[in-house]
Amino acid sequence: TAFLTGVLLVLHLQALSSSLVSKPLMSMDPNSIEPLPARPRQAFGRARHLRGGGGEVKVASQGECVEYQGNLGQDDKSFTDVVNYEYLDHTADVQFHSWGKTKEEAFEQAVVCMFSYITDLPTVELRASNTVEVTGRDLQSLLYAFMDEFLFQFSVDGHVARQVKILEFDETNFRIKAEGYGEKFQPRTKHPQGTEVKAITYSAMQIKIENDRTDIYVIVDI
Amino acid sequence: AILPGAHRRRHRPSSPCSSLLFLFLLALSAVVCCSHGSAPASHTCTASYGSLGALGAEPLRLRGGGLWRSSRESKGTERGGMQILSTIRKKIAVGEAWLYKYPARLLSNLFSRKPKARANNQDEEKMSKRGNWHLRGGGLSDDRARKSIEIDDTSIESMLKSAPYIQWDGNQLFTIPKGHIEGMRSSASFYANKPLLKQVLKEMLENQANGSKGGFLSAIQQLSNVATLPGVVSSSIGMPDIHSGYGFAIGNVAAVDMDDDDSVVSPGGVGFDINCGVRLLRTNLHERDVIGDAALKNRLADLLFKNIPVGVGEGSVLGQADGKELDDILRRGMAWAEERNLCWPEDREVVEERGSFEGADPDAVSDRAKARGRNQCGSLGSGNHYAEVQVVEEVYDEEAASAMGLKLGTVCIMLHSGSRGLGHQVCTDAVAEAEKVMKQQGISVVDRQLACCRIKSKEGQKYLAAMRAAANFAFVNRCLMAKAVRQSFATIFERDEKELGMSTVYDVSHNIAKVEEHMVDGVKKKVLVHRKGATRAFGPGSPEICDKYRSIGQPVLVGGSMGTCSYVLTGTAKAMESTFGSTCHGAGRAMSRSQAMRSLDSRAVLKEVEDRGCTARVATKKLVAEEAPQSYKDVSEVIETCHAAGISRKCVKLRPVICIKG
Repeated sequence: TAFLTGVLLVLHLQALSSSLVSKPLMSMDPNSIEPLPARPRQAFGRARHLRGGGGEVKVASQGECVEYQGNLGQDDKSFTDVVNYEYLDHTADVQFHSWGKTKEEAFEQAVVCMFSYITDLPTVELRASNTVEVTGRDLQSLLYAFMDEFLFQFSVDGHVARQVKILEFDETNFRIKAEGYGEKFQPRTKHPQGTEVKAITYSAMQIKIENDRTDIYVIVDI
Repeated sequence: AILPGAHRRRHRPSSPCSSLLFLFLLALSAVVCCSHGSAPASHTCTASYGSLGALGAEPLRLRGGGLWRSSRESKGTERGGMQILSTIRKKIAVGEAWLYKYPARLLSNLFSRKPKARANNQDEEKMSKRGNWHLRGGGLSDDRARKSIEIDDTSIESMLKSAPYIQWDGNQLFTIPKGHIEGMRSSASFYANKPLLKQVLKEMLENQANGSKGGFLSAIQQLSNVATLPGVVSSSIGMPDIHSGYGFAIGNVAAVDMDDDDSVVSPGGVGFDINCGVRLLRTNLHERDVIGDAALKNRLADLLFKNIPVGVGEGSVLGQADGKELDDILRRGMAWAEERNLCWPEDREVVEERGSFEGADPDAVSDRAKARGRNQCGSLGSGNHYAEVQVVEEVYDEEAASAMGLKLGTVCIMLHSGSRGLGHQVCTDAVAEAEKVMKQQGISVVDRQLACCRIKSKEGQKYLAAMRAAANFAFVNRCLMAKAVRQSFATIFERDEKELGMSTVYDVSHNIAKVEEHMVDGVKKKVLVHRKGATRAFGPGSPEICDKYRSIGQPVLVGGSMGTCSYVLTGTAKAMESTFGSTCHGAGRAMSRSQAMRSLDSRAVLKEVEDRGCTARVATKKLVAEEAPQSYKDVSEVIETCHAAGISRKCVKLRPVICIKG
């Protein structure tokens, strides 16, 4: 009986472990339309301690920079969340307005503005980064390609960029190389689901560059 | 397996009894092992590996576990040994579930600090650290509050004083003549009644007053812009639900002459969500079967919410579609689904183009678009997409309603969805490419978003092929969701889907460009009709409609907003003459999203919707205000205008009882 108990225990443990390892979603067997994994009820509890203890997140209102002190799953680093964007009225969709002292900053903020519409950025930890390299024919198509590339990477990899840093901005050849810092989108467990951005449009797109301020207006399809 | 009295038996030699027992337990464990390959344990997500086209008796999996029964499987097919084995498997599965689930729950309860979440996804309130995250730090910056314009709305004439270039024919048709803006090749016209006209004019005047800093083009302006496109025939027509879009207004129909070499096709004229459309399924159930039992209604709502993926970032029902499969879906649309038994053969008859556009080329769809669409096949999306269970509240046209199988109290299901990321990316790529070639082809447009290319050029043909492929993808999308709905109903009502009579009434598309033949100035012409936010409404006798509906005209499905009624209309001959066989598609928005978020409370909106008798399941409760009924135009006004103008006839009115939104 001891041997039997051992055998049964081993078998059940094996079964248990195989159920914990996530299996890839299956291909197209007609009679096995695959479910997504069950929503782990206790993930909320897990995620809470990962978000780090100690730090208070102060919400930035527009134009304000907020210092976050605390451990966000990284080395003890404080960083600032710049909120240089707002949402303007549009009948059916939404218009993003971002600004900055330089055009790099305005471009970066346009992308952050987009992700802020998709989810709540303070819940996004800085765990991973993605690189984006785009070219365009003029400044407007460069902005279009820049935002579209981040949107594409979000649709495919689920990467949400809480902070964006432009590494190279070549104005003569209209080329941008940038990095987005954030993590993979986990709907319903860790990150609240906002509204899906379907696409960027050229509609009423404006990039106004002045001496010490750049403003960007973009309408996106919701 | 600790037998009673084991301590006494420890040193005894093994007897035949105990060795038999040992063998039995060993066999049991072996069965346990096998059952892990296919047992329907509710906490695990096990994959079942079947080959394509295999119509096995494997039960279908649901999101989050649970069990669907394939429509081919019924209680009587298992006999003898198979029945016993499956019973044993089920009992073991139940026992195992109990063994794993309850201790795990107990442990998690001991260690987690907050109470468990309910299935209705209330976690989102606790997920965010900020109570007002849904306002997204948004709102207007202080230095440019938008001015609101008041219009004297005593009568249509008084309203038109603020826009004197608009001519009124006395009924519902308003025309902006050629020449209002430079380069118009035809006139622009739209249908409206008094309240709708007020909203359209308000949008235009407010945009003019607020200046160009961060403004957008009003619908009337866009209507006129579209009339400047090369090859536009007759006029650029706006439906009663017209509002500002990008390039084309939403609710804008424009036809270009296919025989004219200069004619252009505009990706913006189709929209980013290619083949965004509505499908209506009917059932044999009556209103009291669903509403009578509140617990059943809630269970149905929960199951539908579980089975239909909604919201941003959600995967799909069908898992990952690999390269060849996706190409097959793009090329053949519902023909692919029919082969895989994912839709009924008779469904194809009542779908536009039989669910499969000819001339669709998967190679014209970029890899980027395929990457976006790959894991979204079968999902609902978010924004204004929804799945609703509705009941027929009023019947206006008995003959047409009975042809569609609807009568007072019939329970129906309406699905509103499109081609998801694939369609969006196809349009984005096409706009970028059209921009590149516009100069070479000698086209100039007044609005960058109206980027277009000659139909007869390589790029134009490529776009049309890609558009048709994306349209096929959307058809399959709606098929898969219809399948999920059918299975959910079958599970809840414990009857087969055929027994429930869950056939498709019709499936319409309201973002598409189609090659059709229409009479223009008494001459039959082949035209490419761009319909953006407008539904095809062919009249009785048209050969494109299936036999079932040829005598009554094409059914037109018009969805309302959350909690408000939807309508089914039929196409008329007048529509064929005046609007290239098109009519409205829905309510159209009245209030912007940020304004709705500021002025309405999501909880109050949800409560109001529930008070109306509609059980709502939404992915994100806080964003419900954006989709509130108050932020949309009144759909009944839109329908009345269409009916009065004669471009479609009212058939039935549907009231929602369950609403699933992203």
